[in-house]
Order: sequence, then C-alpha cells, then structure tokens
Amino acid sequence: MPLDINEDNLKHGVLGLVMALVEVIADALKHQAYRRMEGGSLTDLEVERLGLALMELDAAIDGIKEQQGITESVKAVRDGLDNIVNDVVNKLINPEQWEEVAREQRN
Amino acid sequence: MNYLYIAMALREAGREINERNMRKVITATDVKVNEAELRFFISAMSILSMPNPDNGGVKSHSPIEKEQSLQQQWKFNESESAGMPEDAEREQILPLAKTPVEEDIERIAPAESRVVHCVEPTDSKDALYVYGIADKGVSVNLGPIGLDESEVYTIPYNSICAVVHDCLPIPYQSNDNEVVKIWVLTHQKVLDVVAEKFDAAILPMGFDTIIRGKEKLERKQPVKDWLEQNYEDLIKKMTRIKGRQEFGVQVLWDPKIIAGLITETDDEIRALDEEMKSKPKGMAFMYKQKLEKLVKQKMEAMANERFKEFYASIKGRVDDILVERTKKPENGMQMLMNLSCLVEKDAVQGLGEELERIEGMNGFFVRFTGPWPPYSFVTAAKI
Repeated sequence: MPLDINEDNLKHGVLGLVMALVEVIADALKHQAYRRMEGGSLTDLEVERLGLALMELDAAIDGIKEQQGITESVKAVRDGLDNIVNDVVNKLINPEQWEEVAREQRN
Repeated sequence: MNYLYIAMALREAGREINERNMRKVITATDVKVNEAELRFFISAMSILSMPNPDNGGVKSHSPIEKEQSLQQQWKFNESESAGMPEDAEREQILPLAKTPVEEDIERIAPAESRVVHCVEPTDSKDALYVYGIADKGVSVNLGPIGLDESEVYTIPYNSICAVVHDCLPIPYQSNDNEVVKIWVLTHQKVLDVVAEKFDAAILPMGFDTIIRGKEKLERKQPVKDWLEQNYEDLIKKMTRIKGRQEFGVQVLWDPKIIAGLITETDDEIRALDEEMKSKPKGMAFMYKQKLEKLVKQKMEAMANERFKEFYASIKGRVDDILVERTKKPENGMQMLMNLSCLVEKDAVQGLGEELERIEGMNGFFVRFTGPWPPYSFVTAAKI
C-alpha cells in the first residue's frame, strides 16, 4: 500500500492512531472496572467514582475526535485491528484453513 | 538456510536436487537430517520452476518437454517420501507430473483466491477447458460463446458429453476483477445455453477447470478417458441433480432492531434498565455496560435459536443443504446463516414461502439468489 502523506492526512493518520489506542485502553479499563464491580470488591461509592471517571474519559475522547475531525480515521484503525483479531481467532478455531492458506502461499 | 547452500552446491555439480541427494550431502557433513525442514525445503524448491543455468533468462519460453523435465528435476523423491502426510500435497507441487488423468483436474474457483501452476506459457492449445458435463451423448459445435470467444463444443462419451473449448495448459487468471467477472459470467452463460439447447441436466465444473493429458496424446483423449473412468459416478451425480437447482439463502438481521426488541420484551433487561434509572450518574454508567453485555448475550442466544429454527424449516423444504461460512456483512447488518440449497424445481415455491415468512419477521432480512447450476453439490473434489 503506497503511503500518500501530506500535512492533513498525516494529522488524521497519527492522531487517529493515537486516539484508537486510547480508546482501546479505555475499553480495557472499563472491562476491568466492570469485573471489579461484579466481583463485589468495590463499595458503592467507589463504583460511583469509577463510573464518573470513565464517563468523563469517554466524553473527552469523543470531544477530541469531533474537534479534530478524526472520527472516521479512528474507526478505520479500530476496524483494522478488529479484522486482524478476527482473522487470528478464525484461524485458531478452524485449523483446517491452515492448509488452504499454505497452499495459496505455495502457489 | 544451510539446505539452500547444499542445493546450490548440487546444482553446481550438475546433480539433481532431490531429497535423496540432499540427504546424502547432509549426512556426509555429519549433521542430523531435520526431516520436516528438508521436506519443506524440497517442496519450496519444487515450486520455484527455475530454469537451468544453461537455458538463459527466467522468462524463457521453453517447450513443454523441457518444462516437464524441469518439473521432474525438482521432484520430491518418491521412494523416500513415505513420511509425507498427504499425497495431495505432492500433487499440488507437481501439477504436470501427475499420472492418472482425473487428477489433472484442478478446480480453482473462485479464480481470484487460488492460482494453480507455475507453468510457463506455451503456444499450443493442447489442453481443454471444461465447463461441465451434460447428460446427452452428442457432439455439437456451439460456436464462439466461450471465454474470450473461444469455440465451444462437446466431446461425447456414451450418453454423456463434456462441454469444452481448446485452451492453453495454463489457468485463466487476471488481476483485473472486471475481467475475472466477465469470465465467470461467460462460464455461467455457456452452461445456461447448453442446458437450454439440449434440455439436459448439467454437472457444472468450477471456473478454471482445465484438463490436460500427461503426454501429447490426441487432445480429446484425456477427457474421454476421464468420462469413461468416472462414467457411473457422473451418471449417479447427474441423477441426483436432475431437475434440481441450487439456491443461495442468506439470513441477516439488523442488530439495532433486534437489540431494541430484546430490550423491550426481556424481563431481566427491563428490570436492570429500571434499576439503572434509580442510580446516581457514575453508577448508572457502569450499569449501562452491564446492560449492554446482557443484551449481547441474549442476542447471541437468540441468533443460535433462530439458526436452528430456520435451518430445520428450510431443510424440510429442500433436497440437500450446505452450511457455508457466513460472510462479513455490510451496512451494519449481521449474517446469521449462509446456506446453499439443492431444490427440486417444483419445490422452489415452498422454499420461497418459508423465506417470505422469515423476511416478514421484524428485524430479519433474507437474501435469496439463484437458480444456479448446482455448483456447490458437484464440485470436482466430490467427483
């Protein structure tokens, strides 16, 4: 894939990548927070504070994306990541595909 | 990679690069042979149909004989290949060295995903492109209706015939999707013409099914032999598909509508929703996640249930059914199931009615394609 770089798409690319990573981390945080809440190791007050913090994080991420007009490029990065993970999982649960892929590569 | 040096040394010495010679050199150097690596290496070498040092550039148009001897040169040594997992693997590597005629059939549809041989082009059209087999033993010329306007004709054997055109012993392949599309459509059209003209049952072959004999026999001979050897099997397959057509059935749903439906109707979710409303902001945010997870879970359970339900009701209306891999859906839809169905002509309406019922369900959509010749039920692999 050829790279076509100018000031504008550089911003989209780099910022999009950074925000996508931030989103992934935020998702991981949310997941952990959720598990702790469900595990019962947090008091109500702690859950409330955690929830508020995560909510603000979400709002901040959305705000930046909108301001910078990078919603689309963030989505593109995340979709790309999703596809990679899907492929890997797909291969793991369908080992018979390995043969197919190997054959294609040989050809 | 040491094996590469050994191979180069063998080549310098003018020896054949095969497993036995490789093994000799490796053992001579007092190194233990790594079986897996050696096999992999030999396979890898065999597909690099490199020209001999004496015949010039890589792109030389060597005649077939030379090409075959070249293929032979890289041949995996048969006598020592007992450990190879699958014969098929060897055949893939040596498309031209196969002996039985039926194994010269390569099915590479869809063309864009698989490519067969590394064969250098030759000028003689001594191979045959096979569109399909019809259950009429006639010899007819159908005119220039084939791929790239090739002359299509039939080769009869007993009560069946193969629909073919003369082609080069190389697969049709192109990087241009439009070109491939036209080829595939033409392939399809030829089968339609034959079906209409002869009122025949057609056993379709996949796109790019090319038959070529091992030696330079009369061009039609391999096809005749193949028809002869597989006659009974072909007849059996033909009877199975006679009067039947293939239809593609895909059931999709709109996850937004379904999630909405579940949220409205499911008691557990409604209770959680109520509880969430009474919580302070931060906690409500956490509850929202819990809610989303629950909805997702319920949707998965529902998808499973619906799949079973639809599968059972469709299966009752068709002769045969194949579950294909679901594809990645577009515009926010999710694909629940992707089926290929073999349907008797009279039964199509029944299937259509059932699909209409499914389509009528809120949030569900059906894609119904066909009729196709029953490709999915008669692939060359099954013949």
